[in-house]
Amino acid sequence: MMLYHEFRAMNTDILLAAEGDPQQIEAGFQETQALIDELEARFTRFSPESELSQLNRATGSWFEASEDLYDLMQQANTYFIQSGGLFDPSILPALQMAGYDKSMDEIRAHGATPHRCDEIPEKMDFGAVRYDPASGGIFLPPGMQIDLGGIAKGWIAETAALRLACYAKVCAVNAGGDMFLIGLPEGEKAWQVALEDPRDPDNTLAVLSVGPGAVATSSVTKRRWQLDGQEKHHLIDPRSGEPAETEWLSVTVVAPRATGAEVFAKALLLAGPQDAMALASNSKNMIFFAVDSEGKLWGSENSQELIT
Amino acid sequence: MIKLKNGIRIWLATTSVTSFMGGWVLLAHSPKPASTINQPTISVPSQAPLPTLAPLPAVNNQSISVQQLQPLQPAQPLPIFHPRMRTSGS
Repeated sequence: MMLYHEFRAMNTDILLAAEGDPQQIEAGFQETQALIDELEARFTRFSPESELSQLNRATGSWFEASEDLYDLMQQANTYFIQSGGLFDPSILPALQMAGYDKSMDEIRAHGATPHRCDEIPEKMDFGAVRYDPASGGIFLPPGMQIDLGGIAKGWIAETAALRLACYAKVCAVNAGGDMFLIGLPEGEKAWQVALEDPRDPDNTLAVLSVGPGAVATSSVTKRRWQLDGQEKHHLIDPRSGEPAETEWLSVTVVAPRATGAEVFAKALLLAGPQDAMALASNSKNMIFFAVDSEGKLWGSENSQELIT
Repeated sequence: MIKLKNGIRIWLATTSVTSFMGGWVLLAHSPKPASTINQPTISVPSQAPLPTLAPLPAVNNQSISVQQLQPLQPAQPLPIFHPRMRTSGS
């Protein structure tokens, strides 16, 4: 029987699932929750003590990063290249400019803070970040500020699932829709994942049958707020430096790795129907679904086979 | 002699006018060149505006892509159960 454990972290709902001995699993749940809390504290940009904030403060000089942060930045660099720059962690100033300068829970409670400067921040080249594998050093070009929000949740979900797997051969971690699945539920050929309607959270558009691996969704309908009378959302288009205007409302990606799924969900959403197929061909073993403004479901090659 | 000259003038004028009018009528009733040449060379569909998603299959020859998923929604009712695992973005 599948056991579940829910809690809130990273400003989203976390769901842990595992099959096996209940006592073992309960211990696994506790350890996994503690791990997620610890990783969030290290990679959040909303805490000045976090390792990410320390990296941002060290802009223009070498910063000795932990193994985890170094790995995350390396993966981010790979996806920055693979996505043709549509995934770009250096858009933090633009994100803050749009009003996302505190956690989403705080924005929902107190509203966004208007900024005095009206100019869109200068675009920086994330590809110019330098790395020193020997020391784990990272050098951000002067002025560059990083937001790992587009990749860290997937990375944490996968890392946490691998930790939970020490307690249960079949388990999953779902971090607000970005999930990593290990093994298969007893007697099942696949995990069942509901694909939510971005226009109505109570509505399910499809149920996906997916094997072990990752699923992630990016949407422009969830993290939204008002600023100076304008509706804003968290998905910044690196090409314009402003919240993206997308034809699709959400994109869901099924991929082997959670980081890849999360990053490409965002990049494909930005690419839109014109360029999504070409972009998807940059990443092997990836299937995606997109929902348009009318709630219609679209998909890449082989996506139909995953719909239950 | 004068009569002969006048006769020739009248004959020339009459045949000229008749030939011109005959040619005019012939050309007016002949098939228009544009209609026979254009049909095989100009592809009308390629000039017509394409639907937004139509070019996608051509990019990677992935003809399954988007359009086959669309009918799935009305054709297949969703399972009655609701999976605990949900993906929606956050």
